[in-house]
Amino acid sequence: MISKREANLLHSVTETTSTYYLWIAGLSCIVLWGLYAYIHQLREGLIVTGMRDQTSWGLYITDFVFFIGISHAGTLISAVLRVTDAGWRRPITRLAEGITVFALCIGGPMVIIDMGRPDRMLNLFTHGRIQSSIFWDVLGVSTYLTGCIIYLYLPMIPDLAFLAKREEFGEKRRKFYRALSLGWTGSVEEQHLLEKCISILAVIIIPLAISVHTVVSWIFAMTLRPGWNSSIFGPYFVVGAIYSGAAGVVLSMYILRRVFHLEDYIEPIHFRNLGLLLLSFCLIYLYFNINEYLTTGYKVEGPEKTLLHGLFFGDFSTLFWTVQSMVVFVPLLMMMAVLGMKRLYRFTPPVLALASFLVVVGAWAKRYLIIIPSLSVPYLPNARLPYDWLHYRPTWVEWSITAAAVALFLLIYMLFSKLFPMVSIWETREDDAERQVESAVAPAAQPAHQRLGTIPTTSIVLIACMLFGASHARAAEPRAAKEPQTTTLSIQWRAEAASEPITQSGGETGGVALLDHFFAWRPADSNVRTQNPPKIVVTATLLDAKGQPLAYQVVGFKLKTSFGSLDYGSRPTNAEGKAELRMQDHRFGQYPVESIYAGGAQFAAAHAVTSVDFGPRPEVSLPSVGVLITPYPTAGIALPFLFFYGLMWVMFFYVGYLIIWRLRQIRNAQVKPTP
Amino acid sequence: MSISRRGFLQGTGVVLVASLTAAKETPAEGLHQTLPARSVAPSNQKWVMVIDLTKCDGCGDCTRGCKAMHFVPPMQEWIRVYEVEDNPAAGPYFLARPCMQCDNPPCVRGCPVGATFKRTDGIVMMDQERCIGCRNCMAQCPYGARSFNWGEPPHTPAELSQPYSMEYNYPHRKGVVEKCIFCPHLLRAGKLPHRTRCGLPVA
Ligand code: SF4
Ligand code: SF4
Repeated sequence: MISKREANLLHSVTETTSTYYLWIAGLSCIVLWGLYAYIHQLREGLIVTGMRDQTSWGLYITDFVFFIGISHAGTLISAVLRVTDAGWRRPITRLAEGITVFALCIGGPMVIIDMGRPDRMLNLFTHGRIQSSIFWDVLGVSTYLTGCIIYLYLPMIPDLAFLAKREEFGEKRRKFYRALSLGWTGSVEEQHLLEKCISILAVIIIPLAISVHTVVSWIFAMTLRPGWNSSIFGPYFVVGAIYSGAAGVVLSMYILRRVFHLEDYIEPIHFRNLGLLLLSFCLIYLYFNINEYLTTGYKVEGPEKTLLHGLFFGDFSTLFWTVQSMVVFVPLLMMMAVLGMKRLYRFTPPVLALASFLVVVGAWAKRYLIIIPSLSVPYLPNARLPYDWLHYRPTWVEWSITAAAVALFLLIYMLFSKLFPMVSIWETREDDAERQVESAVAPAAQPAHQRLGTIPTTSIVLIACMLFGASHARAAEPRAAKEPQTTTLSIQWRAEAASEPITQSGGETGGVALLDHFFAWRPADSNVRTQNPPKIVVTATLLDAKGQPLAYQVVGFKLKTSFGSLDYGSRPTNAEGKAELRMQDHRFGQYPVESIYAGGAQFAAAHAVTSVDFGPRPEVSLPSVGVLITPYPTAGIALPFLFFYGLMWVMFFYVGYLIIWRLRQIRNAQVKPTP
Repeated sequence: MSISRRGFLQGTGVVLVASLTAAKETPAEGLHQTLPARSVAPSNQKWVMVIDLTKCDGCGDCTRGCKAMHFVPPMQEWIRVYEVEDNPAAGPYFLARPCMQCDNPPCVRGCPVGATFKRTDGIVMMDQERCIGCRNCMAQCPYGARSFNWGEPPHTPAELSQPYSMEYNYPHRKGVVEKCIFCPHLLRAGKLPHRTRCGLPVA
């Protein structure tokens, strides 16, 4: 009753080799070791890691970003392929979706491992602030995980019903499959319903996946750190994520194909098509890299300069160039060779798998290079801390937990592949049917695949130029050495009437204030001032020895406070020898103001002091409203998130309703007429 | 190897149970009557600290004063004196850096649980009882003014003698962020922050 292909697929679930157990045992050991490391970290605190005050995030956040990145593969690729109805996707969607779900299950908790107080996790729910980039991640990743689980589960229902009927399994296991299959019978109405649910999810999961990695990048981009403070980070991370994720899919395709002998299902055409996808993402990623480094490299200044220097030539340069070649250059060449040169076609699967392996490993290291160097170049470098507080070096605890995370990922993936067929049985069955029709119509028709004749070679721009130019302008030598003439400087001040009183506070008004309220809820000014400070005009008159005014001379002004003098800069004298300084400071009481004439070759220096009265202390006014920056959500930040993720949850519930409630209704309707 | 009850609970990942255990450790209610837990400012002032860098000779008395006052754990400096050089021709100068109590504080923006917040009088406060130790605020702060208790900080009897208060931020705890908080408990008593007693004029 079942075809050879299906029987073959079933074997992957029913048969277990000793190698498999060996792998399970090995991976479990690593996971247990990682668990021990984590317990050690819980007891001692994060002091057992290499992180310190300067480099306050390390391997854990690297792992987090990496796994969330890998997770993009799956769902995004399979959803895009589903939406565009690419027939060749069928055998690979499930293994891709599996990667997604498990990578998310590993990646999400990495943040908890990184937390100093995991026992207070519930604070995120009781005191969560939607204004915080960390909270967006919690929201995004949990929504995405839910969506991906549903998206992995739905297309599996027919297979589960199929498995529940197989004699090969024990009673318990069949019961398990039956319960999960929701009593699927495979009627036409049921299939329509399922198709509908899957398409709804496929459509919404694409923006969801993109949003999640954007939000992950925003943890970094919302800070003021050099290298992170960049608006390109969202798309840069998304492209990097899809790239590494697609590589993950190719890699697992290759491995599953070898292990389970799925050559009949996963064919070179799949590698080719995915290879083309990978190649295009490689080029886009290259483009983003150039964009990212060239824009900072061009205006090489400040902390960014230190950062770039560290990456290109300094502490991180070895890793940086290795990673760049692993992620971009070498895979690019490999892919261009096997995809573009006819003679090398037959090497496509292994070479692509190798390239993907490089990309996946490189992607992890790339995340490391995004996080650590930026933290290593703070705005205020401190030299007095011990070496290991300034230079991050992961400890065995961090390596163990990272290794355990990878091992756990593989372990879950392996167990999953024993519990469920990794290639969709019912969808490839459709595939079969289509093929038979196709071959009947046109026996010679090959599955359509375009050949890449010539791959456009992209010219690679290298950033190499740092120009230092400093020319020293020499001051003109004084011409004559005559005795300078004596000068006198006198100073007066007067207060001008204050302009009309301000009705409400100072601070921004109009559009700017609106913006303030839109993004950060802040009252315009907590201390409501009713009066403008008076304008003070200080006039210094400069006369020469004969009592003639000196024009076009520079007179400086200084105000003396209890903690030093404030320099108000200098003003030129006019034809009457007068220089005027206008002040409108929020000051009260008496302050000495000094005017200084520096003199020159012709005229001697002079200075004069007067005491300026800034008026009486203003009435103390009450703060208008509570806390300045609040835990309350603001429209500009809360609404997009609530709307977007809220919509997602509504759709999940709708799909859940369809698949649980409507499915039952359909079945009941079918059952009733029969008796 | 002995695993303490607490370690075991956390190790098994029973987050709920563990958080209840932690909740029991927090000090009794009594304190909150004297110093309100998430206090708004007791006055209608707005605090500003001005440090005259031309007078700072980098002696580090401010750091020591602050350390003594708050029992600041070793390796942390809530006010730190940097030697900065903006212009090679002008030579270096000393820059004492407390928390700047920013007007639009990035750390407050980024905190997921509102453990750090700004009061009406301008002080950016830090609640070690709510902080979950995600260290987003440390990534956000451009001045590096925040430090983290990576391990269990060493305790002294004097430090432990007082119940925890957000207004002086001790006894210290493992796994939370700490920073300069402008000594709100001294302001409440009408005194200036402790580190200002370094002998130099601070307006
Ligand atoms: S470490 Fe604490 S104070 Fe800092 S952002 Fe996280 S929860 Fe807030
Ligand atoms: S901790 Fe940093 S960001 Fe926050 S208020 Fe202080 S100086 Fe500003």
